[in-house]
Amino acid sequence: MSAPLVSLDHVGLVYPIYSVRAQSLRHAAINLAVGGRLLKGSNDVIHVKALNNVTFKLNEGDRLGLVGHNGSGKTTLLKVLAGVYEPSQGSINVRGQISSMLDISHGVDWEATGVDNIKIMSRLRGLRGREIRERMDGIIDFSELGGYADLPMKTYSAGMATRLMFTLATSFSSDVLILDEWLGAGDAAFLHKVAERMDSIVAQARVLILASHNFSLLDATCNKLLVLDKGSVVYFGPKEDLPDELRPS
Amino acid sequence: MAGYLTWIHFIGPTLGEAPELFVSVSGSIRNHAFPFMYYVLRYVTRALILLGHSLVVFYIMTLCVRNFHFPNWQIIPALVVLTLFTTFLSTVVGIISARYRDLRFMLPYVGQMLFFVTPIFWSPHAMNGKRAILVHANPFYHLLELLRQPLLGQPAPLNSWLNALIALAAVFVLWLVTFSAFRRKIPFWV
Repeated sequence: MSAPLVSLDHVGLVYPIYSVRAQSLRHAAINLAVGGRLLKGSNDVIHVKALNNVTFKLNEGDRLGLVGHNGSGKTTLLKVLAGVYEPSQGSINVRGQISSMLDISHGVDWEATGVDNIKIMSRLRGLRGREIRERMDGIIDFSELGGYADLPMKTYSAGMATRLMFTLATSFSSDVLILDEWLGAGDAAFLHKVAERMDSIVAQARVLILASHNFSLLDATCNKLLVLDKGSVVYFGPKEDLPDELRPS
Repeated sequence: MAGYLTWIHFIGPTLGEAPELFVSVSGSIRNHAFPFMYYVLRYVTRALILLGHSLVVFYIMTLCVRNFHFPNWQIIPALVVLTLFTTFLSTVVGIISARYRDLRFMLPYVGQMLFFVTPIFWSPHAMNGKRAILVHANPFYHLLELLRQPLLGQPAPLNSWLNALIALAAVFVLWLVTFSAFRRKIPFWV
């Protein structure tokens, strides 16, 4: 059996939160002079243990669903997987190209035209000029922009902008696909295309990691589930073996 | 004017704009795993493009006042040294000001003070005796000389090259220490 594509080994993440006072060098300097008496309250730098001892492995073809209440660490775990946060403890190993759709509007320049934005955002995702030119027509077609492609994005309706961003975000193939909530965009007619497109990119990805509150969606998409509670793993394994008490009603 | 050009494109921004370096792209940092140096290089590239534009104006001016000099070959290594210096120093400034937000208000004033202390609008020969230390111990003066003299058609003095290279080595070490120690924390700070 080949090595797992994604493996996390006892990953922990401690998250510092700074108060306005702790962000000031002036306070730090005064504090030094008076021997630390001013900052004695521990409220100025709060350390939150966002993830605790998370260990799991995903192999080729795995579809992992992340379940947990708000604040249980789902998004933090996704960001660790995407490489945004480096873990404080433990190690993480991901083989292959990661594509995270945590923020699909990344890199949008509202002053630039649709065509320019396609170029900018594709470049940001590591595509070369030739590859972008090859995909350009396909992206404009799918997002149904038509003549608007040559106008600045600030003139777009909300639906058009969302359609373009969705199309861009789903135009890049990747080995490991990270999704925070299922992407849905646009009007009813477009939603049908969106669903098809999502199915096809999910099918192409070698590993999918999806965080969602929609349990029936996770049930339909994923083969494995990971239940988080206060940063710790409560359950990890095939979805069929999930204990009934953890199953949301 | 040649000295002023060098200041506003290389040294001024490291204190005036670099404090915003990571804070202004916090949205990207918190959602994408781009290498942090990407943001720095993007910012340094912008400074170089702006310098290119200023050089056009500079040469038009020198032609108008009939004081045109063909640039000395040293302009090329000088640009390399200044670019590296700006890259390392802005990264350090960017990281520290992400942690301590009030630096963003203080550093531009420090920059302004350095601007007046460094011989840009006045001749370094105006300082004599003990005051000459202000000129010769000022690494920014030597960095400035690297580009200023070649722009005026002369090679920069060897002493300035030595001092500039020492300053470059110092910021490199500073960058190495700061970046490796705090890189992990940048996403939490911005």
